[in-house]
Amino acid sequence: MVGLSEGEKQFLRGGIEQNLRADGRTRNQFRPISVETGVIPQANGSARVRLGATEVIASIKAELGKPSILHPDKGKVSIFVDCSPTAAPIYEGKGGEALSMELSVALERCLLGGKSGAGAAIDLSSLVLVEGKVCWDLYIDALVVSSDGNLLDSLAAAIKAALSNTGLPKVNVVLGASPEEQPEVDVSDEEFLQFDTSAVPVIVTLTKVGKQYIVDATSEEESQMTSAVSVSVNRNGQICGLTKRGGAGLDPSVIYDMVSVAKYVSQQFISVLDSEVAAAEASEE
Amino acid sequence: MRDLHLSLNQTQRVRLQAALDQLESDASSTAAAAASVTVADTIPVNHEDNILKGHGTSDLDGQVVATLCGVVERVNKLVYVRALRSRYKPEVGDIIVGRVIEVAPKRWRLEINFSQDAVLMLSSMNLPDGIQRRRTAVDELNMRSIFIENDVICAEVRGFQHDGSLHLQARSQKYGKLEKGQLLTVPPYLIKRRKQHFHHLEQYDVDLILGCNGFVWVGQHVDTTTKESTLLSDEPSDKEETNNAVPPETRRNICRIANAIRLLSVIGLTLSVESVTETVEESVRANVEINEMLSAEFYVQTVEREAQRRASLVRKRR
Repeated sequence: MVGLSEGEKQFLRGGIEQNLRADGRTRNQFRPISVETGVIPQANGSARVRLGATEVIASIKAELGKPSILHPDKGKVSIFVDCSPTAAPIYEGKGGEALSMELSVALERCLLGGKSGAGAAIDLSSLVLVEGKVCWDLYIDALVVSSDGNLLDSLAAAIKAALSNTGLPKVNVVLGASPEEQPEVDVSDEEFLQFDTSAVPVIVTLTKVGKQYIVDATSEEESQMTSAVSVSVNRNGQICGLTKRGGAGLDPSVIYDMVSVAKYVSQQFISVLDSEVAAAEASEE
Repeated sequence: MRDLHLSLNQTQRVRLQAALDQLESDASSTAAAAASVTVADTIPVNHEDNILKGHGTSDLDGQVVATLCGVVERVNKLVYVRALRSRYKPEVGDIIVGRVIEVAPKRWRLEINFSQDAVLMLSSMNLPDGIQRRRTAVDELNMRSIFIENDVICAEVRGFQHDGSLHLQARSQKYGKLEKGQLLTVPPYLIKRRKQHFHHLEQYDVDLILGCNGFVWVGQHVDTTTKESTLLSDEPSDKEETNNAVPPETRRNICRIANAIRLLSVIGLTLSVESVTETVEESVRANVEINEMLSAEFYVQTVEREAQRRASLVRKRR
């Protein structure tokens, strides 16, 4: 990312104060979003999301596995984010590891709920086939191809789109004679079960620059931020997760205000994202 | 410049394809199309003359063959292929916009979208007090008060150094630090060399500088006659921020012009003051919101307008 001169920084901050950012957006507007689904044919579900110049790809692979002993009635989901060196040269080798870890943890917190599986966006009990013996393991992998700010929002949107594109094959389970035996599984190639993604939340990141907060910051605007709060909101307006980054301290009233702004903005974003995903799936057929 | 990925609906796709086809048919009717070549095309050459084979050509079995995709140019006995898309090719006297990346002894190093960094010598820069004198060691120590890292500067190409990097000069009042605006990056081949690269758009109170290297500056108008006094005054930075804040109307104009430039560079049309102002006026006439200028609808409308304009030009010529 190139640096900004003092004059450009003042222009940026002044624009955010006056509610007119460099590309003409107001503080609460997202960049135009474009969604493509089914970009990785070998995966069970995949999607590519472009938010301005930020581009991310998410893929979902489902494998049969054994549920954990603590939760025999739940499947497993794991999320992993990889920052590609094409996004920025510093991500080569181990350089992108810190950012990848931070993004993966934030996404897991927003989408996977608590330790008992309560409040998860994906219903983990729907992933189990035979209690205690056979369940689906979902591996969600995301790749950051190009970075121009607001990675968390685009990753969550890509995962939501990929989940709606996911088809789990129908499995016929034949239980063994004794309870200890592993049941036989017959994975069908023909029939698929679609995921219901109406409960999957989106993430809206509010970046505080000066006294104002903006939605969907570009990397230039992010370089001027004091702190950022990412709020995960679902369709019913409920908060599913909250993450704060940045060194500056925030007054609690500011957090409340940011959460209410995020709720308001997320409703429109969810409807735009849903229509884009529907259009992408329709054009894919 | 990043690409705009637009979600066009069916009618927009059809309209865009029709406009692009019309542009292509207009282009192919001009003489330039006859001279365009791709890699490994034979260049029609009179073998009796001693033809000098220039850049982008190669001798293959006695034939002159192109090694680039571009247009064949002939100058007396020289035949060469000029590529349509290429890196910035500097010439002496070009106006460029660059960003300081290093403050070195007696010079500043600037990044200008070229294969090498350009150098601006301290002696090629006017001193703040305006007196013409020899640069002393004190001047060298105070270089940081003139330009610091990441500053955006407008300068002119003075010449080439022995290793091919550029030598710049900023001795006139109109060159120097650029503030209160935004810098855009467009492909350098979209900016053709003209007589004027500094444009003061009076009706918008905006300065538009089309750097030949592909850096375009759009900012609030700065009166160059009073520029010297601002360098001398020592105002603290936060006072400057409140005093010199950009007024909302000017900011709207700056954003509109910046979006017009982004749109034209994505479509691939040559950037000039006329095309930019025409796009801005059209967007105002069509009541398009500033951020909607980068949407699919206005994109398709701009391409259609360009196709109509070229068609009417061709008709006038006939």
